[in-house]
Amino acid sequence: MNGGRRNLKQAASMKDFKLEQCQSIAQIVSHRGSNQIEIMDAKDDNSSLALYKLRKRRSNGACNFLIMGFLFGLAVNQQKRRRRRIGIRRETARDMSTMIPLDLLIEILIRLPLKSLMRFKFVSKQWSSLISCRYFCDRLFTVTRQQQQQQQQQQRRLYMCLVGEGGRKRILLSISSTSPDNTCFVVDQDLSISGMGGFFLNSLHGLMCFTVRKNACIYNPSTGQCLTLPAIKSDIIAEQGQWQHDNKYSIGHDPVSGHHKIFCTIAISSDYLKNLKSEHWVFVLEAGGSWKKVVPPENYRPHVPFALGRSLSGSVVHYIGWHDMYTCVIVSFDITTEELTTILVPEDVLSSDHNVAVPGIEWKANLIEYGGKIAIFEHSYLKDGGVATLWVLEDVKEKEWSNQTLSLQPCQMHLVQDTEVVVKGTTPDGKVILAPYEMCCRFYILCYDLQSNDLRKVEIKGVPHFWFDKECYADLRFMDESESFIYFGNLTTTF
Amino acid sequence: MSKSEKKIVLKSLDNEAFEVEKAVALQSQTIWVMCEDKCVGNEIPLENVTGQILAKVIDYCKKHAVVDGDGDESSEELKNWDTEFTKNMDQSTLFNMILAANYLNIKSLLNLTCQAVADKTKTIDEFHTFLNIENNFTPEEEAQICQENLWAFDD
Repeated sequence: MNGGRRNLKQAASMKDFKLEQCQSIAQIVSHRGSNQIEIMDAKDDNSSLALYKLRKRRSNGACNFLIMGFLFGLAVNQQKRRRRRIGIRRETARDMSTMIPLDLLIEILIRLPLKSLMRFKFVSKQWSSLISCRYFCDRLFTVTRQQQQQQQQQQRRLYMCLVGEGGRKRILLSISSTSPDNTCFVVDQDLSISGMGGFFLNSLHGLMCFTVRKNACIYNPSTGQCLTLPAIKSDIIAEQGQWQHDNKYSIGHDPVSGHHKIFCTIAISSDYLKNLKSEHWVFVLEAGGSWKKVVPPENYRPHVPFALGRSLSGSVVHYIGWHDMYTCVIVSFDITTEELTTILVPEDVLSSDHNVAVPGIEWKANLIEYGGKIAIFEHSYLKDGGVATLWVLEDVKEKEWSNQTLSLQPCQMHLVQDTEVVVKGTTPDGKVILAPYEMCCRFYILCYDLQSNDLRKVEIKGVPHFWFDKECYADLRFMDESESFIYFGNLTTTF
Repeated sequence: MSKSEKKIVLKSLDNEAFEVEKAVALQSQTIWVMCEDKCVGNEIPLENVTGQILAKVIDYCKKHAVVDGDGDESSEELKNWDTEFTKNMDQSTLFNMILAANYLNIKSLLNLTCQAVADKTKTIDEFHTFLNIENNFTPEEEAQICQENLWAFDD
């Protein structure tokens, strides 16, 4: 931290080269071959699209480059552009004998560690916008992937959201692994400065989505961009004796249009899910996006999202919902076609061999992805009997389920004997994450490898003491560092 | 193929001539295209590259051509050689190498040199010195970005 401030100070004190007063932020729109880029001035809307050609110059040893000249070009407004550029060329021809074209500069920048790169946002506004532009992010994504494939290692970061005191206290922690076998994690940063963290944490392509009060929040932890979506003007209103459940937002990706979309479920009911009403909305994450109501299918029955449930994101969003206290469905929303479908969870999944009187209260299970299929991990008897059941939806059309019973190894029983656990999704390599129902000091999670029937304890150090031994809601999410660079820069300006 | 066709002469900006095996030179996509189109004779003028830099590029190409040819040398060894190759270069040489690699279109060399610059340049100051860029953030904007990116400054 101190190092950073020092750098900043030094950066601010360097004034060898002064930009003219007409500076503005420009956006690179596309990249055309090795010496041409197309840019758009952020100030002048789309009218000022311009092509900049970067001319290569002979190099004769000295080490200066023309990038500044290019950035100069961005800084002037349209009328002045042509005149100024001629001036710049003369100047650079005199002062800078070598130049690094912008594309090569990008090639250097994307090879920097993410941390350094983020620091470089401080260099100037132009650099800040360059580092957040889509071309840059796409390129960074590709190169990082390639490198990781070569090194066969994934740097993984764990994010944890904690919500307490009825939503008034929120925190988002960034946690990194300290041991090579990922058995110990330490909180290295509290990201909650500007109100991060909320209910129903889910993520896709490095974008996190969670509920803060009634609104959806989208957050990119690597770039620090945060976006609160506008509130939905819902058509259903809670009457007397009814109350509104927490809005559930899930992020999904439309592979056809390339857009990310946010899917929302609003539900209202009285106690015990009576007088249930629900509706669904979708928001396309693009400039000028707005909430659009999803047309419900013909045989639509209202449902409430499972309070502890998780959604599976991708091109289809899935989550568990309840029609009433005894009827459970898997709700699927196709992000591309914006169609909603529900699959009834069979009764034997709800009660298994055991005697669960009111599934809506007592059922302990959650949705996971298992081998590319949707599955329900049911663990009502994990604490007492060391048994869990995995129900896999083998065929969506035929509604075929398969089940398998998992018995914990006796030597690992002690890990679950004393605490109730809840499923918090899966790790990137498919292990089921189980977290203690109540936060306690020496916080830990359990990772259950279903293939090898192996339960491992993962310690998480550094969770603030405030959260221990009280009722709070927690969500956990693993994210690969390479994926956390998706761009949604100019969205923030649209509302 | 006759013997004379196997050799190729590369001529640098400052008129330094390098005679190299064709296989070595053809690692450059630019030269490869030139040869394929038969638009040049046996002597190729490279107007963007100085003799000093060209010599280094040829060193690199020679090393990599040999390795591609016979499988005795492991990729591990090649990697070490690459590291040594860029280790003692100063920034100026590295930047010129990047320009040359880009111009000659040698992907692996471009990768290597860009990575080398990235590895050596980790603070704002270092880039600053080279680029002469003024920080044009207002204190408020700077504070906001700083807050959003706190973790990046967490040494």
